[in-house]
Amino acid sequence: MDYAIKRPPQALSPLMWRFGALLKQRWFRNLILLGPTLSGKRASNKTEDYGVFKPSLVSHTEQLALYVSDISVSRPFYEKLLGLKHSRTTEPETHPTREGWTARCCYLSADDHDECIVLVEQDDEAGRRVPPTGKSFFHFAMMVKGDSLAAVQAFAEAARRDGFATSYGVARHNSEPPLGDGESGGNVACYFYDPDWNNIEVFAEMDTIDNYRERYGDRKGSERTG
Amino acid sequence: MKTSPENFAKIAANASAMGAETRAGRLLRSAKLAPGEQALSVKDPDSHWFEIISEAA
Repeated sequence: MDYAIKRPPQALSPLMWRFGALLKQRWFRNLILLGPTLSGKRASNKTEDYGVFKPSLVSHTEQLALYVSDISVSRPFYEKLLGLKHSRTTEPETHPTREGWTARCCYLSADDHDECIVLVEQDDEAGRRVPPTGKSFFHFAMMVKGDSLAAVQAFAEAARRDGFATSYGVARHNSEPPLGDGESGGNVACYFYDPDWNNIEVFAEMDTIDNYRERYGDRKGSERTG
Repeated sequence: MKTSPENFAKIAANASAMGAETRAGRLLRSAKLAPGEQALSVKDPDSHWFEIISEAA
């Protein structure tokens, strides 16, 4: 079995990263969405068009576990990029879902959230390291301290100075220039790929049930330009 | 994901009614569970596992 690290099909190539800024131009968004627009299948990108404000049965995400190829590579990546602190790393334990496999776990904490991320190495029954395929994974998002556009911009700038390349952003996920990229959510964000092509969003100023009326008034999503 | 004890029971009932594969407790053996907390692991249609953790009553 081929266990080499591969870029998953949905991950952008470094070449594609160069064109991300064009998404802030409405003409470019309309061009790439021409097919869905003509077929009538173009989805709304307006927060208020989605039923996201109904009460849920859960309050928040407590922990995210990510498969990684090598904890010794991924741990410093997350410590340096996100400022997470190492809590503990375990010895190999029984794999939660694959018989005969083992998993070794590295727990990382944010200042206000104990062990919010777990990096998991998995070895097969022969003891070979199995890297993640990443094929079913879209991204996860971390809110930046300060929860502001300035904080995201400062974060992106500092990350670039430290040698981390943004794969996308800083952009705002709505249609409002100059940063709007036509996506939904209203938040400003920048993105990074980790060593295993796990996609990380660092964001602020998300549309919420508390702020979206103040931001968009009583207009329906279809009444705002996109 | 965290929830109240009341909603934990609702989610467990929903998962059962939907025929979702579930497992009592947390997925990783090394994962913590505070005194009084309960956990239920549920598998979604794309074989993603997620955990529901009930706050202590």
